[in-house]
Amino acid sequence: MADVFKVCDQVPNGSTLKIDVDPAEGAYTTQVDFAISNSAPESFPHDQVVPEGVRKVLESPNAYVVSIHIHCLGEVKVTVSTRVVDPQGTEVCAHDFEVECDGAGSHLFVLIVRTRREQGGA
Amino acid sequence: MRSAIALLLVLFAWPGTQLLGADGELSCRPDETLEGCLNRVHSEVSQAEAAGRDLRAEAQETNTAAVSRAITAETADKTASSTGLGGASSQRDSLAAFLAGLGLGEVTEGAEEGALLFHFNPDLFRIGDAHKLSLQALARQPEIYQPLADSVPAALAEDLDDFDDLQVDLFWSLETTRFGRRFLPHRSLLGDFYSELLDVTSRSVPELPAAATALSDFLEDYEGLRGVNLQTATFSDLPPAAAAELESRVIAIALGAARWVQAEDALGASTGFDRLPDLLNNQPQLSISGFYRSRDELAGPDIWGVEGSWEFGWANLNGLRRYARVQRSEEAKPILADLRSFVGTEVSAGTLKTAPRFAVKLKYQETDPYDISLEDGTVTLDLDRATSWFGSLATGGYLRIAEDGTQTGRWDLETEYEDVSDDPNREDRLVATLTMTQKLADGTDGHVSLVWASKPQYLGEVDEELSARVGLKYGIDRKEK
Repeated sequence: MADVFKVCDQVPNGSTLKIDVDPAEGAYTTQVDFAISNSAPESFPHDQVVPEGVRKVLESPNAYVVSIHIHCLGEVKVTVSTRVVDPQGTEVCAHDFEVECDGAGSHLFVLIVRTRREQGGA
Repeated sequence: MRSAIALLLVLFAWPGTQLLGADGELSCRPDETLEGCLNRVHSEVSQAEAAGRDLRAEAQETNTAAVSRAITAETADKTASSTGLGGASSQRDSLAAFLAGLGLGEVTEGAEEGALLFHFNPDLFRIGDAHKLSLQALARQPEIYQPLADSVPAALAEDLDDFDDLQVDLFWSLETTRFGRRFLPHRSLLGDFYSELLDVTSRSVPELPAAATALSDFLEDYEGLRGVNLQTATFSDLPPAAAAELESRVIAIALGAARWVQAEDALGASTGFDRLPDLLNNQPQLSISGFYRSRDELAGPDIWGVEGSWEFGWANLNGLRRYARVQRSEEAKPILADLRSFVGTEVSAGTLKTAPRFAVKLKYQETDPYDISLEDGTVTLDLDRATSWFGSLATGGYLRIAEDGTQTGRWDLETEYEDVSDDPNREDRLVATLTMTQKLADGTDGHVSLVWASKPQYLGEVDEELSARVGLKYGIDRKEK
């Protein structure tokens, strides 16, 4: 069984999390849900995930548990690319999730991201 | 660890976890990282649940998935066969490599012996989302034109070159929310259904969102984990209290994720969400195609034609939209309750299982005048321009449904009329074909066709001639591996 959970820890404050799902068109639908420490959850429905992708600036101090839901509706291979890029544009964490479907069915991936707590921070 | 033991007691009451065997270890090992423990615990729980879930998934397999697999397998077969291009000449091989090299398309073997089919990349012809255009060229192995074949020396065939019998086909189909079978025009509707489905799932499995929130709060707030890199640290690297707290949250989210997938699968089936591909596959399809066949003088006259077709199935997304408007209001957009109710009605009526289809086709074809005289004067042939109209009506549907929901047997009836009134050498004809197809255990299709023709000469090749105008055709379509 392919990994369902991935972790990106100690990412710099102000980094951007980029989530892209490929292919843009196919026999599936998707949604990305964010659980954010001490904040209200956020959801990105299919139209906001595909084809433009989700872009989220990660503010410190915070931890994010990102649930990526894929529901296949036929034969399709879906790849979810997750990248964390620091404010200087350097990639600091990268994980890919992949699912190969041969019919209807649900798939869930979870990315856990935590920002680095600056010294003297709250 | 106390929290893990407490959680185990709670989880023991959850029916799903009773499938966990004695080997199931619901705790994190000292040498595991956060990611390692999450994935192992989730994998063990999911595997324990797998038998039940797989059975459901198979039972819920949609018609479209089966069709989609067949089409994909066929495409894969064709793609695979393109690497070995049979008897094609080196000149044609070179062109195939040239096309592929430039990303212009791919080449496969045509249905006729020695023929090559050039599929041009559809991205080259995009003119907006609503119009799907595709272009292909068929290079047949050129042969002496049949009416000349008995009169001219066979050696003349050697004068024909690779591309002396070339046909170009251009296809267009309408892809909107009302026509066509692509997911793209329905993306917004599908996305809305899915958001609703996830809302329902989160009410039925609140453990996952609760565990996600609890984990994010814990990772941020817990003093003992500050400054620790959880990508690389193992549980043995963590202070014991922090490890125990983290472990309980790890197990909660791993179990929540496994249960979520199980619940979403069940809801996908019960709400009709997983039948959306079937509804899409029954959408009306409007397409027009045109062709031009250019031949060397020895190979025959040039021919061109144009064909329009319209096809639809009964239970489709247009019907769902109408259903929502009738049930609620004129502006109503379908919601999950409409989908569940609509699919339930169609399942009861049998239209989703039998998937009845109806198709109308109309084709016009014109053959250029043909005038040939060999230099030695032994052969002359002078034919006028010939035009013909073809019209066909077709209907069909599935007859047999296997226990797992796969449609295995279908019937198709097609009647085709050809009007060649302005061609003194030919007669109008009507041919009707009733075909029964059955999927066999080894993945092949067995078929039997009963053919009736208005004139004996139009019966064509049959395996069994029942009378002058009625015949039987049968066989097994083997898929190339």
